[in-house]
Amino acid sequence: MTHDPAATDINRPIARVLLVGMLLSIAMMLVGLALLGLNPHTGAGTVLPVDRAFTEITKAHAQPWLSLGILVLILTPLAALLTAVGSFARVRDWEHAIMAAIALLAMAAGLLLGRA
Amino acid sequence: MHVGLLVSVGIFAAAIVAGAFGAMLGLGGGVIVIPVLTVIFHVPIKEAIAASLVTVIATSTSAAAVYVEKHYTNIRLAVVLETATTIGALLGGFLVVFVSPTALALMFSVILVYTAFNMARRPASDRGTTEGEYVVLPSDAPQEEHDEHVNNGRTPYTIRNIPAGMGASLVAGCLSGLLGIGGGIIKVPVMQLVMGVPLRVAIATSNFMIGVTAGTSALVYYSRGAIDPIVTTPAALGVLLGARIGTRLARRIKANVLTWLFIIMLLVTAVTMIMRALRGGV
Repeated sequence: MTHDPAATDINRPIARVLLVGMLLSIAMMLVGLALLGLNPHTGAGTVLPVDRAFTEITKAHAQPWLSLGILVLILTPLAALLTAVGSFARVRDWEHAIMAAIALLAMAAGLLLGRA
Repeated sequence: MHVGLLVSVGIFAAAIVAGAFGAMLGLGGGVIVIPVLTVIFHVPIKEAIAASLVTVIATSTSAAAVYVEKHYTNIRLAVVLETATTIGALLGGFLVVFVSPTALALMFSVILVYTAFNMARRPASDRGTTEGEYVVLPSDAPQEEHDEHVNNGRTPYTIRNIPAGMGASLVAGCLSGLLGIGGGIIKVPVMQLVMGVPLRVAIATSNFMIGVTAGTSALVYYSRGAIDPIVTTPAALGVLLGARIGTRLARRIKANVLTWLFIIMLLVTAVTMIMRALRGGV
């Protein structure tokens, strides 16, 4: 353990975000795998774009559930970093809040440039 | 049974074994998952890299949730180093398009040999299992403050050489994007040996960073539609389950025997991948 009273305020919300994100993604992937077992032809191919995955989630096909499960897992560390920005800002540690924001911006740039 | 489902079951079973080995040996998923997918299931290396990145996020997130809660992770240090790592990961994620599968397989084989060498050099007892309370001090902290923490049973440490740490993080991030590995194999020794961070804190901090780094690279792959859910989902779930099993098994198996067995496996896999790459079979 790191002895730092201020760290309690910073660490706890980040740990919660990581746990919730992981459990949510596992649940979505398991639903997707169950649907794949029921309809084996609905999971082939690649991950779906976010908008299509949301549209097709009601069709009880594996692919949108698996796609969103994977996406939630990928976004979980990003959400943890976003939480870190908020946590640092709350304790007025602007230097680290800005650094966390820079890392987040680089991730966002990755998404935008990847699409292009 | 449908072929896709059959492949998924096979990958899930193999990923459990990979996750268990990874947890017992203190390795991330990538170094094990990529050879399993390419050599056993003949998954093209770029698809295997994408799947590996997601498994790396899964194992990192699972461990980081605990490490962060227990305050082993130095979030401030992680954020500082992550700015360099994320930029490196972004670079790697884009460079991968221009690098041939043969070159990727050869680079990955080099990483396997380096991992084997690193494991042989580092005793099994030195894998960051020491429980305790750590406290980070500023570089100008007086000796009395240092001594006071030691007397209270804490381990004080001071972070030094931040530019060197950021340089190493940039390289680790780039390799993560290119090869689908977590990069902990580079970050942990640099944090410990160059920056003066205790091993336990270095492992926990690297673990948190690995999720963010792999997330950056994986976002690029996802947005390109370069992730196959039939391969990736069972790999991620299998590695997660395997890691839990491995953590329990680790207490019953002699670490040294396991380590040397694994070193031999890594070297055999590296040679297999090099031979396949040179024949153009990746």
